[in-house]
Amino acid sequence: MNNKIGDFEAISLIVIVTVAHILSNLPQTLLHSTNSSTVLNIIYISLLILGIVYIICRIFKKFPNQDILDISEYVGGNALKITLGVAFILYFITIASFLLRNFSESLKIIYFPNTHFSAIILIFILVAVTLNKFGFKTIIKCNLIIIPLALISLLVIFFSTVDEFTIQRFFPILGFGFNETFVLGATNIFAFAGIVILYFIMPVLNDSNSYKKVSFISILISSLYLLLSVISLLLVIPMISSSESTLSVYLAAREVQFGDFVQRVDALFFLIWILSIFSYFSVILSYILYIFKKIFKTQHSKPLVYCFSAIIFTVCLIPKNIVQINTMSNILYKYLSLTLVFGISIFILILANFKKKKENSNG
Amino acid sequence: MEKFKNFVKQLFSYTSKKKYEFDLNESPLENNNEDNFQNGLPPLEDTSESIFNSLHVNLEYVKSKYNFLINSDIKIREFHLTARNKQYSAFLLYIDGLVDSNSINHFILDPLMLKNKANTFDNAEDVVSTAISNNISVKRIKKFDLTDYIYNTLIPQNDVKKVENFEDVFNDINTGSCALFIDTLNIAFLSEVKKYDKRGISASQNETVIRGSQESFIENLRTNTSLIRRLVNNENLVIESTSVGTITKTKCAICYINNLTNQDLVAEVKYRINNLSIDYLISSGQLEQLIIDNPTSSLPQLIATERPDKAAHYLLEGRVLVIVNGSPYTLIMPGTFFDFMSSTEDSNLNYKFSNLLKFIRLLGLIISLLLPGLYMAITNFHQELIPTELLFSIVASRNNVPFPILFELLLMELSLELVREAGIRVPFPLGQTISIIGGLILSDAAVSANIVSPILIIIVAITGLSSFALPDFSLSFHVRISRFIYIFLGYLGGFLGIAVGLFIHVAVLCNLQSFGISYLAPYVPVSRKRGNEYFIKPFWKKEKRIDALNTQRVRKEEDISIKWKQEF
Amino acid sequence: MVKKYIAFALIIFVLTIFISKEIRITTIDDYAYVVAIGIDAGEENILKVSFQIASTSENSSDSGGADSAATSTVSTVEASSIDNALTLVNTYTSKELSLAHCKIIVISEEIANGGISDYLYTLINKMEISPKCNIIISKVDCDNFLKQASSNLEKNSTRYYEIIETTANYTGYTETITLSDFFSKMEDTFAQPYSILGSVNTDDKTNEDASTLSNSETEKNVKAGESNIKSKNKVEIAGIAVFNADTMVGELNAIETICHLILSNKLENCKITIPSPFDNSEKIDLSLTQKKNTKFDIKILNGSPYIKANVKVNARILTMNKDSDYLNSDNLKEIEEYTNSYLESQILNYFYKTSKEFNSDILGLGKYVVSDFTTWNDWVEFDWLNNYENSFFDVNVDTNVKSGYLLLET
Repeated sequence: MNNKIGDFEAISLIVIVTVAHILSNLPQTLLHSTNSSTVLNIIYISLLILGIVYIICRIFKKFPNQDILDISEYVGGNALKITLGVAFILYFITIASFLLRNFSESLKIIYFPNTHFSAIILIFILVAVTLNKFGFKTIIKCNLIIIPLALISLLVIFFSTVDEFTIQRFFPILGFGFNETFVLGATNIFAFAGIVILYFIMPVLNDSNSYKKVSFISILISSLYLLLSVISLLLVIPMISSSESTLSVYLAAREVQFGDFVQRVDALFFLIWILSIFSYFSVILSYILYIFKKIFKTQHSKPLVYCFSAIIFTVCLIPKNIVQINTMSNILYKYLSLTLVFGISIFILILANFKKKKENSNG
Repeated sequence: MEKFKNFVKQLFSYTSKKKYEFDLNESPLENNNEDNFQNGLPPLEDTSESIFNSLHVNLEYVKSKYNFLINSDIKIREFHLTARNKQYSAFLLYIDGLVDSNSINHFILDPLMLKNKANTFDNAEDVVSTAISNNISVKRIKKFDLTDYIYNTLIPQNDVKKVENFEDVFNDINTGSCALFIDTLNIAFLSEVKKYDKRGISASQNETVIRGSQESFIENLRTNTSLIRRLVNNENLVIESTSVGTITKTKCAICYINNLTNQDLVAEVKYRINNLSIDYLISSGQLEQLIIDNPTSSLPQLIATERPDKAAHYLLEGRVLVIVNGSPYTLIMPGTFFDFMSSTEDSNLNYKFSNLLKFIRLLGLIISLLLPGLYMAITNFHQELIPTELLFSIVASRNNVPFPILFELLLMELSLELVREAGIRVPFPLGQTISIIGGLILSDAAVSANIVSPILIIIVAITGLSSFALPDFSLSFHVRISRFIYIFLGYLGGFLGIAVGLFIHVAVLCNLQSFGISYLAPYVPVSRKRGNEYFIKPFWKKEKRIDALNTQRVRKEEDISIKWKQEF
Repeated sequence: MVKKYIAFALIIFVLTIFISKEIRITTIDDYAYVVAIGIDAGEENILKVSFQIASTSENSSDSGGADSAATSTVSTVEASSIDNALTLVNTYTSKELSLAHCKIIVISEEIANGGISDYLYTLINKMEISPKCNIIISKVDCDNFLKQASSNLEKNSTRYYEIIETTANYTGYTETITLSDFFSKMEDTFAQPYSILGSVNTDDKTNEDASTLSNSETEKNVKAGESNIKSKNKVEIAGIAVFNADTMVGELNAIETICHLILSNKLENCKITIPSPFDNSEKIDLSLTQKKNTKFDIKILNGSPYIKANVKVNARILTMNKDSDYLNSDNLKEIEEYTNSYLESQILNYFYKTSKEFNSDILGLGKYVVSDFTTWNDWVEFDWLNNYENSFFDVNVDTNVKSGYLLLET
């Protein structure tokens, strides 16, 4: 059975990670760090990430049909492969659990005050497990259907709040200062942690020549939506930078009003956002299984879905209160992504590049 | 102890299920130079060969052209023809079901085969002139022309013509003539012996259209194949015959167009039908359940139709048609979700009207699936979504109703299902009574008695109406089942429950495959060269066939198909 | 096969345990909907909270002639906070109170003078309350206000509340302020919040203005509760309550509100009265609409803002008498000059009132200045909101009188 996926499917796999984090608390984290210069900052980090992605594409071109685990085996043997694989599995488990916990807490506060949050988390996990039993292809197809809905909902929020924009909230233009915007602000590159999927997508692409196209288009779409969500928050709600709230995009959605009749449509947006979170979670779980299968060379990975979902459920229950949830989903996520996705992986890729060059010049 | 061990082992062990895999996209296209034809249609096969002198060669040529070995209704009758006491080999070529057997027997075979006055030689010579010299008489005899002889004297048929190339032969055979080939002659005789059933065939009762043809399939297999033959009108249409069932040996016909359909698909269909071990097969519905990919799913995976124009349309798109003797419903495979949302009317009308109808059907699908569930979710969890005035009128109308909303809704839905089921079985004179009872008494009296609220009646009525807007019978069944699941999910979890239901529903749709193509083709997975979108283009713009089918001939229209508008 | 059934049964069992204990499913029948909240100062530093609860039983289609006064009830209770008040009222209503359809929040003047940020933060923290509900500062007791809020043109109060704010569109005497507007202006560094002013008009007037009915100035100087309307509807909404941060510092009357709307580009349509240039004893009524957005030119001179405003309005003449001649361009020009000077004086009056008296930049002029600063710290150091009282103003009004309505010349 060929497991190849086309370009659109690959793009939507990468974009869903960014969309899910936008729906969590990503815009607010960015706004807290750079206030009114966030737009400049996002454009700056988009250019940075385009450069990084260009380097990644060049390196992957030399290793056709291999993902980062194969490359790490090439660099450091089986040991490095297993270490990196386990690191990625732990990373995926942590980010998925934190996002899930954050989202379920918000859902509980807003719509289900009488339900225990673990019931809500259980529902998410059950859905992801069901989808993983169907198979990877089904997850990709569902993702392809849901991504346009999520993107349209963000667009609708942006255009509906346009008449409440105060353009002058872009000023002062440098926010907290040049240093904070561009030097320290470069760490905001963690917003594009979706490129972790890029490391694994090469072997399943239908046409490996379209890897470059896929990566660039997905980065462009992610940065566009990051910009839109940040603008609709920055220009409408001034208190966003001075206070913390749950689910920042939800606050923007509460402002949407069409005349006198259609008000408080945030519940409809929630329907679409819950679908996106389902999709994101299924994708992450399937990647955990894929990595595990690859590094330990098991024949079947489907029965492991129960084990990993149980692990994720227990990790979700770890934070005791909102302080811990906030710390984990905003701060811990930032530094984990920077370290693993941008630090270690790119270092291994560059090492592999040098090794290949040496081999080519020797042999 | 052993039993317990085995039980635990069985519970926790994992055996991967062997999934039957068949995917159309794996086989490479054979005709890859389709893309080179930017503007023009690829040419069809050349049939302008002239008829050969040798009967044997003619016979072989005709057999290969008509796929005689696998085509079940192409008939070749070889015999010896008597002309002037000499015997010539000959054969007759015709299509069973399109010709009148009596005419052939009495007016073609009889005078040619049996010795009669016309074809016995009386030793008379056709003398043109005689010259006598030196007691030697030299006679000039007119040469015996077999063609003229047979044409003028031996075929007492009112409409016979002589042709010299195979193109004319095939054109006439396809419409119901019968061709006579004779050894040593490089012409063929075509006689008009058409007879096929017309208009005894009644109009389709379950798939009514306004502007389409009013014929429908009947129970007889041969009549059905003749209907298909007449519409497709091409020699590449192959109708293979097999039988299913050890006791009944029911005849089934598998129809496809030879140089168009993907051969893997045809092979798969034949493989599945020929590998069934059952005692009897009575209807096509039973066959459908035996050969679909996923029999446990409630979604329809094959298109079942009783209209020949719809069947011919799908044949020409590159699908395979299966006709079962004794059942007026034929099966078309593969079937995608968007096929079940379209009706035959769509290609007969202006594309704008069709797109409006398609939009309304889509709306009908969403309303019939989700409206009661959304109502439950909004009234239980999301009251702020309803405008204030509407909310107060709903609450006011529910003031005297003693039941909770869930009970009310289930009561009304179940009574609607009962009315629907009763309506199918009720004898005709009572039909009106049932609708009066159902409509007036159930709803009106229930509201007056404060058993249900008026707003709920409206919701249930709109839901019922929308489900009738769906063109496919099986799809509306699936929607009826899913609706109850959504009601419970909306009651328990609000929009979270609805989202769970929607997501798993979409996942089930994505997971389904029908004869090798994805159930949601052409949208998922995305293909650049689509040919079958949901909202249709104008007829003169439908240039390509659906990509997922991987047909041998992708283009069906040139870029500019309306040539009379082109400037010279 | 057995495995499937056992797994299914286990899941159902676990879910039932979760669901039966944890979920309490409430439907729309279980709620009573609060349409308005009123916050007063009670005795001894505690609040007096009033809830206007819509009763839905008389809204059914059968009772066509229901008395509209009985469509809602007002419950008032004294408690230390809004949530405590909710709990107290819940103890004696049969249904649970839901704030999801609350349309207005009425805060009394007394509370506003002492600072309302605590209450607003609490209200914003509730997810039930829509950020689009209106804030009204009431000059009388809130429960009195809520009890009087009814009209014989609408059957229930929610419709009344929804419609009453749209009067701003055609009178220009007030502006629609929502909770999110107020809250964001409170948090803003370049604007100050303001709110709708409302009151109840009592019949026995000791107001000396009541005798000078014909004085047109009086009509324009009205605030809520001061007009001389005699009607069954007692609630009036006119004027603006001006805040500095979260404390109320003053009120604007009708004409000042019109100036505010013109300057903030929110004017849709309003009517003003100017003395007639042709006859000293006569007045001319004009209908004003905004021609172009007001342009501001703000410079910082020696640390003080110098604010120049350019206003462009269109006017049409409403008053006609038997000698009107508006086809003459000179006449029109004279009317224009009179209108310009009238509007300039009123706008300058508005500016100096907000700047010197109230020190509250409700127009949000700070947004035109913020682009001159590069970093946030510089802006915060400049402290625009406190610097506003040092401002100087200059106004230029350009009126374009187009014509009358149906009659052009008599």
